[in-house]
Amino acid sequence: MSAICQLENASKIYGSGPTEVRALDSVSVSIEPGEFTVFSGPSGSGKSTLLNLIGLLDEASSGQVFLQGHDVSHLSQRKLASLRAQQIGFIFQSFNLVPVLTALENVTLALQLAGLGGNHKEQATKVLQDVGLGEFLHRRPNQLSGGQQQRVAVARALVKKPALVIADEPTANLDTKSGDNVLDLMHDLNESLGATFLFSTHDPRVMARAKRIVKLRDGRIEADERPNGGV
Amino acid sequence: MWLVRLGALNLLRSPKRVALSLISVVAGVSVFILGDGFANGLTENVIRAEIDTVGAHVTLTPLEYDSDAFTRPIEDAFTLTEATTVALDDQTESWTRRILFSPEGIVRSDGIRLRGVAYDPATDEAVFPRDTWVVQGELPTPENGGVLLAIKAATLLGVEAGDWLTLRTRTVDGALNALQVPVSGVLSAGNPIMDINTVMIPWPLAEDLVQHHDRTTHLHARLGNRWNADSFAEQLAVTQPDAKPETWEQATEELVQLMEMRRTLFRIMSFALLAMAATGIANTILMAAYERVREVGTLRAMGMTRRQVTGLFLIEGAFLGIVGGLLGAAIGGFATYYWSINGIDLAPLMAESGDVNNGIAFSTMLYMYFSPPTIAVGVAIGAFVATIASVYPARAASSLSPADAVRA
Repeated sequence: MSAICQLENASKIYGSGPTEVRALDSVSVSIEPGEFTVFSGPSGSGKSTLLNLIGLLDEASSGQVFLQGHDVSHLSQRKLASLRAQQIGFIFQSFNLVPVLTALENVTLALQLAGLGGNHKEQATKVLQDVGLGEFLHRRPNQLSGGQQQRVAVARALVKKPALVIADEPTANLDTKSGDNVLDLMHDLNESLGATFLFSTHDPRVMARAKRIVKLRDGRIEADERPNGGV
Repeated sequence: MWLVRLGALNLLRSPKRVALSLISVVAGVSVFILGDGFANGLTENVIRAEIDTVGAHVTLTPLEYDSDAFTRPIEDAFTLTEATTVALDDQTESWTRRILFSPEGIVRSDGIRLRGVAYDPATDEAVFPRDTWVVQGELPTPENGGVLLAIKAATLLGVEAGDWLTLRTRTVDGALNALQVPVSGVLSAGNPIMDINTVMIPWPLAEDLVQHHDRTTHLHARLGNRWNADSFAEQLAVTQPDAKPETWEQATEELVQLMEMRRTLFRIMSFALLAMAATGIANTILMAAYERVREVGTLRAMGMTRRQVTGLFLIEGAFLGIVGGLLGAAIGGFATYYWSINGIDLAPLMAESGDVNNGIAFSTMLYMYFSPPTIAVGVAIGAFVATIASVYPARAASSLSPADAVRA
């Protein structure tokens, strides 16, 4: 099976000379379709940097990044933005919904940015119904609970049917019950739709559901495990 | 379209801050519109007063005529040629002749220098309308044999309608002459040049005083269209070689330039206000950009391009400008329209300034000039200034690294 995303000897260096920080040090990793992968590690281990590179939010200082077989290491900002819009969904720790838009509008926005065809409103409504928010379409983020907001974020990430979904500490700002619900939702979507999820987290509940756990330390991959029957 | 909507919605996040930014845009645009309406109204006022009171559309005066308000020489008074009379009858709406001279008005031992206007009662009113005239007493007639005296002069001389006044002057041929005449009426014309020291003397009575023998120092013509004044003046220069024509545009040229200076002053004021507005808007948008760093990062992560982020903040600035411009236009436009209909009474202001008018004709009722194109320009300027002011904050927002911004 061809990798959705692949990093080859990717390094990310901040600063130079005595202030140089090697956030990521010659990391090679390949993400296959349908994975439910967790990147874990202590603070400063390079999890976020790695996700930034995979999510095309940042460029590697050296090495190569491939998305669906294409080298995207040296693409223009415009092309990277276009790839992000169409191929990658993001879920953030603080939900990061646009506060002036309703749940439906937040999800629709992802379709508009992706420039995809079809009836955006219908597509967004269906995904929101799928994540259990059919009754909250017209509520603004401040009228939703944290768990509901994160569900909107999940819907926003998935509505464009991206190649992969990157979730950065998605349960960190949720209570246990809401966190479990959101994780169950993502797990179900992974199982039912085959959506590829990449997580950065310390949360043991996420790791318990992971098919693959990549442990990072000091910018390097320390271990790459497949605890739940991942292939 | 969604970007425009998002920009508009973003403005609703901090209504108080937006309202504060709007105030200066509103002030700048309304001052621009009011200032332009005032300056245009003032210019039109001066032009109309010149046309309706002093010179009509074309004036013929003797060659080498010194138009100094205090001398008013009459020795070069001219007689209309046949060709001039034909041209006037054929091509004007109305025409009349006047002699302007400087008699001394004497009552008992008090005397003041007056602006004497010998006028033809049969034709004068058709050229110089009297809509604003208020006469205490009555107009001069052959029966009452009187003159009309400006209210200020009447006050200074302690004269009322029915009292007698001695006028002393030189005749057209240079001899000293004096005449005692009744003041049939006291005139308030709503125009300082008429109201301060003018004495209106009917043509037959003026014959006794200045002995003009149908010669004139001022011939005034009113045309159907004031913009034809130049060509008609050129024609009169040919038919009346001993006189020189002057159009209303030439007569008001210096005054209009003065009015233009006022307009410039208003524009400087409005642009200063708009510059303040620009600073406020730049600050508002910059604060919005820094407050929404994470949101900008999220939008960039979702695929929004730098250009779209720039566009989003420019749209927010433009909306501020458009809303401020529209409010400013509404306020400035309404006030200008109101004063274009009802006018502003400058009489109290004139009273305070001591009646110094230096021979300038203008109406004490100032009607502003209501101009829809100026209002449209005002709105456009407001939007333009606000959009330009948003360029820097918009670029600052779009240059944020999405990786950093998304976790800010």
